[in-house]
Amino acid sequence: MENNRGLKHGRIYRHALARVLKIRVLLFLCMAPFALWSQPGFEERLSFDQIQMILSEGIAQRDVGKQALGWYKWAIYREQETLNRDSAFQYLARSVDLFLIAGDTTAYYRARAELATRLPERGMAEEALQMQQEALDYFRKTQNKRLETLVLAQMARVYQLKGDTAQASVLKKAFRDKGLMLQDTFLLITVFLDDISRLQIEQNYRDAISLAFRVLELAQQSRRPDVATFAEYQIGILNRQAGDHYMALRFLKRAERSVSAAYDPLRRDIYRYLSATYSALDSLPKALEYATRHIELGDTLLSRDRIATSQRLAVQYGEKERSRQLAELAKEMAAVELSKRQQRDFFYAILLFFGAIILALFFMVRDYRHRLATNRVITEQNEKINQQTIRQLEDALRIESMQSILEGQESERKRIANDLHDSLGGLLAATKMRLENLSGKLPVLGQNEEFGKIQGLLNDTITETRQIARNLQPGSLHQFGLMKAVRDLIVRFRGDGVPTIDFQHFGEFNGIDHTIALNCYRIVQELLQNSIKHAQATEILVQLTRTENELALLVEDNGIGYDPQTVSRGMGTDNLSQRVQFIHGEISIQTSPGQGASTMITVPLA
Amino acid sequence: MFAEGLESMLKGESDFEVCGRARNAADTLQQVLEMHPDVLLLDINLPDKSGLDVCKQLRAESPDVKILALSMHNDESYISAMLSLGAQGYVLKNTGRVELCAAIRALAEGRTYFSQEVTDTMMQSLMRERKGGTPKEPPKISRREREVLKLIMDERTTQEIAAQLFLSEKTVESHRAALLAKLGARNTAGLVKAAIQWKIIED
Repeated sequence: MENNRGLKHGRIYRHALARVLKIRVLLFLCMAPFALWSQPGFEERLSFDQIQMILSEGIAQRDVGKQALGWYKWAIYREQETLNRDSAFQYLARSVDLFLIAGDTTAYYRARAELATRLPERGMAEEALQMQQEALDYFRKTQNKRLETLVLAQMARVYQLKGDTAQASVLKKAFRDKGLMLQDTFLLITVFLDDISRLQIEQNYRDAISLAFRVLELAQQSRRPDVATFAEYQIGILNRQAGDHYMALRFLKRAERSVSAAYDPLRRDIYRYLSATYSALDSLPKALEYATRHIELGDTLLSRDRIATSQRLAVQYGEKERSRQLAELAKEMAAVELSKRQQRDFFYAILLFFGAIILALFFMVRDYRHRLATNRVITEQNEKINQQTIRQLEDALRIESMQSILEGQESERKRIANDLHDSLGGLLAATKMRLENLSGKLPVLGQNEEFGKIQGLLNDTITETRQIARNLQPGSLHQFGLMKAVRDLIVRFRGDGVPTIDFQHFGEFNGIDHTIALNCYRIVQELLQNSIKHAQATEILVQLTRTENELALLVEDNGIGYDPQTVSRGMGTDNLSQRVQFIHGEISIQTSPGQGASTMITVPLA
Repeated sequence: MFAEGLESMLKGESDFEVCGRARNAADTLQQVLEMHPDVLLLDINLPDKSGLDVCKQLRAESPDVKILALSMHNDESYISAMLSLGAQGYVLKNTGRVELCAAIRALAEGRTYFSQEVTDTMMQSLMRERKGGTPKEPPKISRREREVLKLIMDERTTQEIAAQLFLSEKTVESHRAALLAKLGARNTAGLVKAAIQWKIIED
């Protein structure tokens, strides 16, 4: 997480820098040759105290540049001491930020390039290269050949880490050429030392040692005994880490001899490692001796540290006081901010509360209205269903009652017809026969006019009785089916003044339900009577059509017609429509005054 | 009562012998098979069984007996039915003595006999009935059917015809079905063809 923060800073300032640079570029262009060629402090190896001092002073003097340098050195120092590159990364990121605030663009880019070298191991090689490229561009623009070369070296390393060895070697060559050209051995040494610490972390001691030799060589050439000593010390501890204690001992001894200042912290480190090496070689007296020296020197250094620390504390106290005031101020501001925020939160809470209430009300009202509407719809539907049920019940009741009426009617008719046929008919026939017998025995009677009239009246009575009986009960319907019964019916209408009746039938009429057949018969009978009695027709067409699932009756006349809208034909049509309804048929009447009448009845057959 | 009257009436005739009198269908069958009469006077309305069925059964079991149907029904359907079932004569119950005796004698001599009223009924029936689709005579088309047919020939749809004639679509369909049956057509094309053939629509 902290890594990300460091990187984020890098990114943010990279953008901010674009603005800052535009203003300051000219200034630095003039200053660069003097101020930045020798980058004070960057190349020296500073002790812990020295770095602490720089930081303390930087804070006390509010010298951001010094603070930045302090953090930079602290990062490098910590990294070499602890081999922990993570914390180094964070300190470098802080240093970069501070350099930017200080307006030290060259230092900013240098520190940033340094930071970039630690990005590839975090999987951000591209970002690293971009940052370094920016630094490179800047150094080229400011003609800072040294730092340009340094960045080239760093880029070469990043390419190497990225696995792009071709580009790495190209850059390495460029760097070496430039370095040689610059004759700046220190630059090379810096780069090599950096490489060594990296190789040390990677536990590649062989390459690290050879590089350290290279540094030693360069230090001797450039007459930097302090660097030479450090190189010897490095060779020593690298060999120790590689397990070659004899070589370690040899070079640590050389370092001990060449180290200059009596109280150099390096000397203490040398003593410490000499002790450790002797111990590893089982030379315990020597080990003890150096351990003692290490402790003694440590104490001395510690006392020195104490002085420095007390000084630092004094400085830090003032700093602390100020920071306390600042903290108090910040606290007050925070309190104000808090109360403001509380007010705001309260306001929001109220707003939210009322919003929720309004919303709840809205939904309640909507739900209520919806429920009302639903209830209304349900009530309406129920009412409709009820009405429909009532209607259906009424219909069923009416049909049922009509059925019983019609059935009762029919059975009554049948009874009367049978009585007329059998009892009355029989009696009349018997009477007639007896009369005839009598006239045969008494020829006088045969010549009597009155007796002849009585016989004629009796004959008329018999015919009339038969006619009434037949009209009451169409015997042929049950026996021979609808078509023959209708034909018999039509044949019966004959005589003077009776219209011509045409009868046509299509289809099979046997097997039709008796109730339907009987009602159809009655319907035709009714229609025929209407046409003959009321319509004064001279031509009538009766037509029966049976299709697969339908029976159609048609009675058409050329009579006077009527207006079906206004003329009620009394019992006749009423009875007719009831019969049609009873057998679930449909009636269609087409007539108008003077145009005859055409009545069609269709009956569905199950 | 009727049978008794009849018996007394026939006894007056010297050449007749009344050999039996049955009250129902079963009795009739049994007596006919025992007595072998020349002529059977059969009432169509028997109490237990239709005279039609008795006639049919006798024809199968005793083909020699002549059957004279006596009926109250002067209807073509009954007359035709009795004839087709093997009756040789058909007279109404109110027929006079002279005619009845003539009928019995005709049957005994192997002829058929129908009373005047019965003959009239048969004639009427044959005259009134027209059989649909006979090739020589065009069927009679009703006024309404003519209107529907005209519109069908004008390529109107059922809905259009129903709307124009103020009929329900169902009624139009019924007319159409009747027309198809009458003209012996199977579809609209057949209808149009028959209409032209019979010159039903002449505009």
